[in-house]
Amino acid sequence: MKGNVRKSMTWLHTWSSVLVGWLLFAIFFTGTLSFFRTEITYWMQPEQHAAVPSEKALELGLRYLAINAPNASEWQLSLPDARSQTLDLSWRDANVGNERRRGPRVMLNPSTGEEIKVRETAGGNFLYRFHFELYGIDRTVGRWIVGVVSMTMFVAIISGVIMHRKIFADFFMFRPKKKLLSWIDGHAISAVLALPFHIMITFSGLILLGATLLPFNSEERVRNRPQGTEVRQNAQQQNLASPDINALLALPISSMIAHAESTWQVPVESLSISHPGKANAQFTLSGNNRTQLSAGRGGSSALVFNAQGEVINERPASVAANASQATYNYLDMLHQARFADTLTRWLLFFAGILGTIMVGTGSVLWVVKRAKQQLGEFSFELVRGSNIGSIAGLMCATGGYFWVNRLLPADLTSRSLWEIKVFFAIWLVCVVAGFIWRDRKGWVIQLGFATVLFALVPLLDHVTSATGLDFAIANGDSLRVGFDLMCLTLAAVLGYAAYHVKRAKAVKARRVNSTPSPKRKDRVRQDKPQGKNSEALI
Amino acid sequence: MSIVLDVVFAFVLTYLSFLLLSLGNKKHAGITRLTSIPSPLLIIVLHCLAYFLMAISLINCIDVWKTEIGVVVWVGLLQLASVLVSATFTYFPAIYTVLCNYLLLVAFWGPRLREK
Repeated sequence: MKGNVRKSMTWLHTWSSVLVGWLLFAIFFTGTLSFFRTEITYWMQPEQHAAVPSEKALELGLRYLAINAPNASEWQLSLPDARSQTLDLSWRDANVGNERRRGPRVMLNPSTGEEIKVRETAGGNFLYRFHFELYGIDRTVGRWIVGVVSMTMFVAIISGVIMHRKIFADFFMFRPKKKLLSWIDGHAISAVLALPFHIMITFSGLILLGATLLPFNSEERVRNRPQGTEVRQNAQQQNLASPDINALLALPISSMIAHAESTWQVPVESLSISHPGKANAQFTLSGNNRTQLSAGRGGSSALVFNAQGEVINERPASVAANASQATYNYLDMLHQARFADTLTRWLLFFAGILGTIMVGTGSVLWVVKRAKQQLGEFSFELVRGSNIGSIAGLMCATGGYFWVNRLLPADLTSRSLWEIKVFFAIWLVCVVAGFIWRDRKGWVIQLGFATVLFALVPLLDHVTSATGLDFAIANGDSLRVGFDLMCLTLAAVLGYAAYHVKRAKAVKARRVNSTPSPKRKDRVRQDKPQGKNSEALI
Repeated sequence: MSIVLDVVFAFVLTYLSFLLLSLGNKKHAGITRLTSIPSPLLIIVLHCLAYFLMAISLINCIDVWKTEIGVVVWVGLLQLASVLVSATFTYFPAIYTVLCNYLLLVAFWGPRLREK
């Protein structure tokens, strides 16, 4: 590292990125998918696909709870919304203490009231947890590794901004079909245009891992956490008479919901009933009505009604205790998109895709730039082969993960574990294959395989789900149709990439064949790109 | 429906603002009626107009989503718009030219500025 500041930053940017690029790509990719982890889990549990939101959902939910949880101290109903097609119920038995945050849970079809038994799946939660604590190693160690990688990413972002000579002049510039220039432009444009997101997501990720990276700072908070063994005050209410279903349905719950929705201008998402069926029953309605991120997870206000349908309390949104708590809350909410409606979630997803492209193109750029000088050297070949396995291989593993979810028997023991095993098995095979075929052939094979996997996902979905895609389209199941469309889009992008790489090979093959009988040494020299043709060696 | 219109309105403003900013680049300006290298005065005018449109877009987002969430949505729209401006210039230069020449009235005031 010598020379002026820009040269030093270039050195720092290059080496800080290349050392962690493969893991960073996996973190960015799985993290971006995690913005839709609920939707991914929904797709991976096809038993849910028969559920269709209905106006009868509330009535059916109340009937179910009155029959199955008559002595509960509290009922919780989560109504179908933009991220869920089902009616989710839970209740808390009166004699259970606070050590359990939630009691029994069931999922109902909101149009029929039938209970839905879903298959065991790792779902979107596996991708979510992988992106910040990896898998198969101690959680703390995994978080440490991700923390170090995040810090390196942060260094790479800052050094990348400093080293970028024409950050404003080339702000919108992308020059396709210009070999090395195209890779540089692709890397720069995906980095610069979404720079606010990249800084936010990296910095907030570090803050969220703060308790692991700075454990001495969180000990007191853990020590003072309530142990929650005391029994709730309303335990005495157990074993009283069962609530009368007709009396329950006669309550003005619909008018409560209408009142809350007109007040907030957003749909009511959940209804909590304490002391159900009793004269002192209270109905707490909540929805995604938050206006502040700094308020944290309790940032939505709620309305509490009595059995007569009168508002007896307006539970305000929580407020951060101080500026540092507010800052933490803000970053936490942003990173995990807990506040996000559909539009904001897609915007964050789009920025995440740009981040994934930035990391991927950066890793490929390292190889393209050095192909001329370092072809055949161990370190170069190591990075070259690893790029294939870590980028295209991860795509294959993710596609295979969705496939195996549908192909494994629904009642298989440890089913979610098998899904994860297959995910890593495919990835491992791709990494090994990447080292064996380190040239364009490796890219074409793996990109082509991933293309096929993702392109056939809608067909797989149609065949293996209890209801076909026609049912989903007819009933406006945007979650399922959206997932399949995204798979098709990804397949198109991967297919284009495979086609592009294959074409580059054809161009090069003509050049090699035009040389008469080259000896092996000469052939290696000819394989080395001549300036502009360096992209043929990604 | 109103929120959809709000989103479209905010996005169109951010897209137009990035079109204006891109005209400060000589390669971008070169395919419009601004065939000369943009002068410092022209760049100032373009930037002022762009920031004005961005400010309206920001106000609109804050009005709909309140300050904290509105700013997040606005930044997201900025990122999307900037990528689409870049894609329009790269893959659909004819559309880029038409948008700049007629929607942003470059055809009208471009030659006048160029003559100076």
